[in-house]
Amino acid sequence: MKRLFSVEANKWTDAALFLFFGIFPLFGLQFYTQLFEKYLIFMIFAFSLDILWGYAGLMDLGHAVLFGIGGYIMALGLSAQGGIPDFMARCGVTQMPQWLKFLCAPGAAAALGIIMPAIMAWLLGKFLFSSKVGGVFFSVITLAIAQVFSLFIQSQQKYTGGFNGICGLPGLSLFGAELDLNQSYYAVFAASALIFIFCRALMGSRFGLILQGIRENEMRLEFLGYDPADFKAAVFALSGAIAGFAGVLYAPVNGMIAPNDVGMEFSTAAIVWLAVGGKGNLTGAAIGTMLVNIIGNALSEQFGPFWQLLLGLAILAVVFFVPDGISGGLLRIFEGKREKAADGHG
Amino acid sequence: MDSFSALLLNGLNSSALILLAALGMVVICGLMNVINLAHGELIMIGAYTAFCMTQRAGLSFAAAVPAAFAVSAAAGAAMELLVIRRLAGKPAETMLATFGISVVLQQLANLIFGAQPQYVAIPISGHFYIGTAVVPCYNAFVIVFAAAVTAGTVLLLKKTKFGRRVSAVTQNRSMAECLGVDSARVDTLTFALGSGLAGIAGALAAPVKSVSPFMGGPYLVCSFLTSVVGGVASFAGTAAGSLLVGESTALLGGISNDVLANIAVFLMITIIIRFHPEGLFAKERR
Amino acid sequence: MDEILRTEGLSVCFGGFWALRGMDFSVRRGELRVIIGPNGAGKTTLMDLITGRTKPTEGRIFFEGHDITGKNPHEISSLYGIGRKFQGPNLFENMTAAENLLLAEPAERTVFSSLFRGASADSLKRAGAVLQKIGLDGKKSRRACELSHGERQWLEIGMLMMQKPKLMILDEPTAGMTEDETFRTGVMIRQLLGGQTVIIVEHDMKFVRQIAEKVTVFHMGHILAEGPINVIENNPEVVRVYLKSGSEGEEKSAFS
Repeated sequence: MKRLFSVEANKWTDAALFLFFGIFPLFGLQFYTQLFEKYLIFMIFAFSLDILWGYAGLMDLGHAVLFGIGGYIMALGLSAQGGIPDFMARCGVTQMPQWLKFLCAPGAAAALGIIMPAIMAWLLGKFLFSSKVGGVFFSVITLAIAQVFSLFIQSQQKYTGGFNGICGLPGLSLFGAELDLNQSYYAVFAASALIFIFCRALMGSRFGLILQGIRENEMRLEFLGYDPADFKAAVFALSGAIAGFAGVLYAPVNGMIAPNDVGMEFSTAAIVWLAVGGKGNLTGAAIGTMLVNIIGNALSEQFGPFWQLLLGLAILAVVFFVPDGISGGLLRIFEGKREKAADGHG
Repeated sequence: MDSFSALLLNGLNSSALILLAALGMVVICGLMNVINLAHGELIMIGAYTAFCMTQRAGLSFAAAVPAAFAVSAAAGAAMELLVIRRLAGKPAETMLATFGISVVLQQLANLIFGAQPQYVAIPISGHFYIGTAVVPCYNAFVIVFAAAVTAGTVLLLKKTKFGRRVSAVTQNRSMAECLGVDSARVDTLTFALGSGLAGIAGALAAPVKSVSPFMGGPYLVCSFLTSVVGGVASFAGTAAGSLLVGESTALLGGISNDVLANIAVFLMITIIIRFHPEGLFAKERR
Repeated sequence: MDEILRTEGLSVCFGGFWALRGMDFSVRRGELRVIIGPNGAGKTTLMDLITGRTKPTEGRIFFEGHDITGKNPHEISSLYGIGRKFQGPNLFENMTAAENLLLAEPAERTVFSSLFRGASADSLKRAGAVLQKIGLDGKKSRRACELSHGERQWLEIGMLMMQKPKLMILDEPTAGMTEDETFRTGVMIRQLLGGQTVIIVEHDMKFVRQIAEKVTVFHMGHILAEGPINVIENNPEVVRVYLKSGSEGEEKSAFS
């Protein structure tokens, strides 16, 4: 049972990863706890891209838009808690718009921050996938959307804070009480673990199998009686919901949100995490996100722009030398061992 | 009415720039079937070449344009030889790799020139009037030059020996190889040609737009959408597509603002492509 | 006569070239029909039309009395039950043999029914049985791309067994197989017959003799002859067409 063994190998890696994040705050390194809390959110974002790109083969080059919609909705809601937010007042808004009053309830903002990107992704997916446009076109359309979205956010100074974004947001709170660093960290940790388990279960189900079928041979799947457009729209919507959820967490944890957080650079970053970690098995998304961000944090202080250059080179290196990424490479080693063992018995 | 004709002329000018940017995309994507996500960075290289030639080396713009072609073409040839060739038949990997290249090129430009935008002086000053609309001479030059470059590219691909080799390789690679066409060389040259055209686009855009390491993204999207709307393998279609994109952006920008115009045009193109994936002007193929 | 499939005046034109011209073709329920004919005779084109891959220029296709002309491939497969094996193996290359079979299972083919649904014990059992029939039970965890050419062809036949369609279309199931593999394929196809209707497009005349009941000969987009294999082989028209255009050695030798 080759696949079974891979799953076992995955399970141990996953368990080790989550154990590490589970006990990390106990070391009392506040600065890193804060940093890792952000990375856990990035990990959720990476999972959302992995089910879309890794499993269904749909390369979304502007995935940060979905993250951004969630993030901005949450940020607007949080900023309006104490009346008209500063950046709006500066633009001459004197009366609180009706929709913003609705967002003042954090629960409502969070729910909308998850549902909105999902609906938008689903509509776009339904619209695009029901025609004969290919996967490449999906990538370029999403890239274009990312650009248009950045422009849009920056132009709507009144409601988005323009180039500066929305700052000074309160941290995560639960039942009206703001959480301290450790509590906030564990809330995010629990969320990421839940999303991971959710994605794992979903991708292990028949739905996940069908998505992989779309990636491998969409035409064949059609002749087996499946409508690939439905599945692609569905996974895009799910991916949008998860990305939106990551954005909803990011706004309070980061304390601010700006066009930089939701633009091309962040979309690019997620592509790199998955390429390096290996896509299509979720474990790789976790490894890639953590590795690239931790190394990036260490190197970018010393090397500045060199770090971005290294990232670009890393993509090239991965494409040529480890096409399945780190997790794929690990699996291959495990599989090779298993095959040797099986051949010995046979 | 005057402002309307001014908008039309403006639109014609941006159409010309879009056409130049899309031309290289048509050659690379339409003929070689390679999705090059670093296309915008090849345009950026052309723009920086023009910047260095005119502002740093003090040479004339007339020298800068061929130099931009040469530098971008060389970069493209290197890309083809080092990366694209090795990933033949793997479209997803090729896309990811060219994406990596675009990040590398952006950061290299960032390291060399810094992130702040650079400017190139407008090489042809002066203006003239059509009716009451003011037309800068440089804009007229860009329009004429874009038309000439397009015509030249079409002639090169349709009438010369090189062009016949390119179409032989596109239509039936193994047969062309059997007939003694060095398909590897043809690939490199085609890719270099497409990249060089992108370089020219960058050089001509440089005086009217700023030059910066991250300028490529919008050009990539714009040239891709334009060439798809026109039908990827058709030059006439691409010309029509760039007119459509340039004029509608200019006209809509005239009645609202640039951002809304960009969004509206993007939506329009998406809808068109959704219903005509082969492009508006593509011949029926089977 | 219980017709399961009937085409009426089916024509298709690709940019001026008529690949099929006024084709009236029908198959009875439970029949095993073999279609032969030189390259470009329109055999695969007809299969493309029936399964919805190509839309006809003129004419209609009826399946069990329903008009299926111009329907999408997934509708034709899921609503009407027509399954197809492609020319040359067409598989999910990076998925295991067992996964390939499970995808062919005709259960849970919509988004909501497939969410969080694991493979049922019944479908696992069926997949196991099919793996045995196609001789791949020792290789169920191998990826499709790691299998030999013959095994890949069998895996695709196995997918049809899982799918259990009312009409099976097999496009050149023995292409590229050794003589021994071809014979085993014939045995496998014989096993498939159990109330199911099968259409096979084939080139290998030896194989055709092994399995065929009724044979239809296509030529230049229309039907040249139809009848039992021994009658067809001695039809002077058929012999003439094959000899004239018989660039493929096996066909020539089969008839000479």
